[in-house]
Amino acid sequence: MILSAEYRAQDRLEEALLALREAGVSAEEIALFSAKPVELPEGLLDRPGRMSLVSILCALALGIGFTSFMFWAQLDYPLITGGMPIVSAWPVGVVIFEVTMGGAVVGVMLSFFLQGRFFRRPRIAPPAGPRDPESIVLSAIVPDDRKDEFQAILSS
Amino acid sequence: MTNRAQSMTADAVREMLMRPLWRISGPWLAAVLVCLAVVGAAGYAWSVQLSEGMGVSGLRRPTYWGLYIVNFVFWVGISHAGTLISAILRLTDAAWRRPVTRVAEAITLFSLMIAGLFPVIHLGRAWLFYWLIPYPNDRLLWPNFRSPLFWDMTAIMTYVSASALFLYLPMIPDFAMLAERSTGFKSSVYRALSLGWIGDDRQWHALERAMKIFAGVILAVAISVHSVVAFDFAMGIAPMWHSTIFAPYFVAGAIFSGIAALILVMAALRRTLRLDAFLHWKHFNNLGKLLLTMCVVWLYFTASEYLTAWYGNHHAEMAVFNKKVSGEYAPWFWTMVVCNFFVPFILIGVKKLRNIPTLCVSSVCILLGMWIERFLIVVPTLETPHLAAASGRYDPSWVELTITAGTFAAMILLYLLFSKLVPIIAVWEYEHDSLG
Repeated sequence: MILSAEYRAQDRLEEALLALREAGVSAEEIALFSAKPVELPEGLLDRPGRMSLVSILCALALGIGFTSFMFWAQLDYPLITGGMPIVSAWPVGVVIFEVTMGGAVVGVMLSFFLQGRFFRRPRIAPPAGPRDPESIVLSAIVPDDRKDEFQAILSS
Repeated sequence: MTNRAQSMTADAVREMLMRPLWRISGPWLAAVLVCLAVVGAAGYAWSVQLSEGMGVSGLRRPTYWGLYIVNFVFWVGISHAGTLISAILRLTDAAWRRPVTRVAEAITLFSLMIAGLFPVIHLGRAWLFYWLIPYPNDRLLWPNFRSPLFWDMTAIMTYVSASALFLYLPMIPDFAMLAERSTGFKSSVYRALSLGWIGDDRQWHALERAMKIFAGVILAVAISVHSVVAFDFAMGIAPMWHSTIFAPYFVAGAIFSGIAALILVMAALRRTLRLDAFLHWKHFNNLGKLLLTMCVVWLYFTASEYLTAWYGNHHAEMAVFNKKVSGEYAPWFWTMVVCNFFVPFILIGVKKLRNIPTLCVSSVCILLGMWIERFLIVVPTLETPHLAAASGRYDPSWVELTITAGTFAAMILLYLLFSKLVPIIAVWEYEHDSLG
């Protein structure tokens, strides 16, 4: 079952979170809903992601892929270059850079959607009805048989 | 000068920032109609060029680049406002940036959209622009990847898409909030734009992380884009173009004009949307100091560029140099120096004179000066090639002038429409910083 509590003070929220984690609730089973980002101490509710790695990999993939395509295209229909090399990295360096950066952008967007879990039903739905924009709602999936224990933690 | 917003509740801040979205005033409507009329006139001018051919423009041998390329370089320059202010300040976590970022990012996107039109207009046969895209075709031809025109296309495509996403991502939470506060069709549109934002800590974390990485990427792309624009000139061996410092010179000029545009837009929004509780003197003052720094950097680059040409005393370079400094373009050249250096240096440098109106005057002067600078880079060199017998004269036609006026109106129009669709200050970012 899902339990929710609304906090206005950050220290109260941190205490509740710590108690929940110590009681065995994993970070995966906790969600905070707020109108602005919540900054928490390290270790309390970390959300490790691989956005940087994904963006670098996408940048490399698109950069290398497009460079290979350019080289293939130049050999496929060779322009008359007056004795200069048909394939040369220097004159296409700008294009390689831009496409690589484009790949990084694609990587960031992909990771953003995956990490933020967009376009899929959330495991913990946001609380219904109007709420105070300055408050933070803590929701957690807890075992039914320990409901009272967790209710006490959230309301303490 | 006032810090009223910081003492407000989150609800009050939201109400104030979203107030301009729900009502359309008479002056706003009048401004939209005027802009639409000018944009319409520009559209008509372009249609004349498309049906009659490039002969209706003032582009003649040897000046094949005229106002279209001047405007292209100018608008790419303006686009640096968003990148510099938003990306650098985001990376350095400068808190004062928060009310400024969306204003700046929107300038970037809109000015790039306008800049991107000019290479297409300049093509003449605009309907064949897709030949630049490398797609498999029945003639087995590929674009020339070595061409600076292809560089421009890839650079601008990357910059436009990155800028659009850089503007869009922090708008997602605001769209979700707007969906809640509006009804009917408007609410559906905002809901679709919010991509199902629920505001949980995963989404906030992903958003903040994405914006940090984006800031780094977009900074590199922005610098590369204006360097590529400079390479369009510097890769040629035309007098006063073939310079190793052209790329940083263009980037510095772009940042300079971008900040000026940002100050002007901020002042206009502050007055028309009554945002004086959010856009404080502190923001204008900080941007003014940046503008003053860039004013000196601009002078340094300009002096280096002209001194090198003068000291080299190459006859072809000197022909262009003399034309600019003491010849037929001297009035333009000295107007540029006064607008880009003397006016801002005095008005911003002297602390007693520095206030929002003088910052606006300086910004207008800088925008004018930077447009003239772009004109002086493009036209005199082409008019005066290495072979003196091949020299010629360029006079822009009514078609080019109308299209130029239309782009300025288009920029204002896009901003007017944007200010009615999205809060011009990122609500959540402002709350995060100011309300704690």
